[in-house]
Amino acid sequence: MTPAAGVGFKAEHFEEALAAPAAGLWFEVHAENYMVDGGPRLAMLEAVRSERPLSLHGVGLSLAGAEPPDADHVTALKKLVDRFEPELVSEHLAWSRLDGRCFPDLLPVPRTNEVLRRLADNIGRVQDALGRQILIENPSHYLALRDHQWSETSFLAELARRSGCRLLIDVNNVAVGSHNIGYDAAEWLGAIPAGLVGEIHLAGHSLDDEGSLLIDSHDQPITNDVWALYDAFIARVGARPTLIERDGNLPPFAELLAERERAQAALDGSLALAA
Amino acid sequence: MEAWPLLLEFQQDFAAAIGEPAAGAMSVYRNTVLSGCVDALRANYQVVEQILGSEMFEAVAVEFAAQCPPRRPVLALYGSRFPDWLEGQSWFRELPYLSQVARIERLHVESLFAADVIPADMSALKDVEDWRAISLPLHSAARFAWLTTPALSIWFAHRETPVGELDFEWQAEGVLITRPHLIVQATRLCRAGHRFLTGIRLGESVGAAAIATASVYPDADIGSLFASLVNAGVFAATSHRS
Repeated sequence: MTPAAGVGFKAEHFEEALAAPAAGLWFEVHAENYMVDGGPRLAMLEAVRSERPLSLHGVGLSLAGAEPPDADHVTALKKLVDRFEPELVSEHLAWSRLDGRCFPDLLPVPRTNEVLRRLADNIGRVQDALGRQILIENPSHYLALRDHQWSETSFLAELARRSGCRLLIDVNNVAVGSHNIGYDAAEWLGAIPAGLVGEIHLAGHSLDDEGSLLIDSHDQPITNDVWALYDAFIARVGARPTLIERDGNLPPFAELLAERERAQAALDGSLALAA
Repeated sequence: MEAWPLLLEFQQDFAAAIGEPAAGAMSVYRNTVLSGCVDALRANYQVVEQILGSEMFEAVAVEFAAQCPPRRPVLALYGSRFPDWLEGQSWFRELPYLSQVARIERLHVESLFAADVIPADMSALKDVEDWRAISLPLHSAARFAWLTTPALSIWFAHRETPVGELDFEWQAEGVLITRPHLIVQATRLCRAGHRFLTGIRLGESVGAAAIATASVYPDADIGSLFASLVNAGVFAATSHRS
């Protein structure tokens, strides 16, 4: 995919999304939402795919769990990858399955040697099954876990080295974690090796009910802080496919396109600098 | 030295912690897990939510999610046990039709996401001579059920905006749900139609199911019943030789 900005696809925006003239526009969907046998939802994705490049973003492989990824789930993902031929396939550094139960969330792990080995092994299994490289997204942090043996940025770099995956850097997750558990977001982004970055996510966040934690809620416009971090990040690592993620409090498609144009302008500026 | 079960122990402790009401960061995880389940049930049981009201539905959904958590990460299909579970609740006696409304919604969801299969059409069946030699498979998206309450009338009324008048006889009803192409259709199914389709589902030939249906419902027009079922998309296209 030529580095361009994309938008998370929502069925509510189907017609406008297909009609949008923006050059380079691409769409990302959560893979699990399309792991069904047939029907209008898959037909809609076919129509989107026939017009635009697609990225499949998984939320349910539970790669950071002690168990290997569920074989049926990997098979379902492969079926989608084979059918829709996405430009990018990504998953999370998180777990969501334990003892046959699924948690619809991205749950955290301590960055230990054991977890690193487990993750690299699980990512390897998925990449072997799909016959392609995947991208792994850095999580949002709400909780300062003890027992880390690695800093997050060196953990991610080592994970990519061992498994052959690349990284999906979610700048909003970095900002949310920086607020919640206290680290320097710019420093964090500055420590990510440029060559490992395959995609960037941008989204909005909101304050929790108790007023102390930022939640990676994807239900607000992207904040100025996140835009500033993004601009600095791509100025250093170069243009990368960048996604505007919006899942809740869905605005008119034009508003998402405007955020997308903002990201595209940054990417174009970065390309001009690199030329 | 590392202890190998560390990650597993961490996960088990974490899962136990978010299984109980929590504060601070743990409540963020707990709420995300619960709202993922509740939102999935809300999407799949919209009329049940209308009947119970949003607040009551959420309380019921949280309880269901605690007892029957998702077993697959595909939430579009979550909640297959919800209709049966509703029937087992102590307050259910006050809403005896509710689990059957839920069952209709579940059949609707199953039909919506079923495999895309070409439906049989009447023109392909016009030269059949011996119907007892014809077996027609049910279409992948076809669902039917017999309901002991007017759950279908209740469901239909709630699908109208604004909610339609609840003017019906308190009697049993049949429902037929089909999706010959991309649009799910729900219609009433008569007793004869239900007997006929039950026979087909059990492997009877078209002729055998028709004869058995006619013997129980002598007034039924089996020919037009069969044509209406075919036209609704109940059967999958096939070479139709058993």
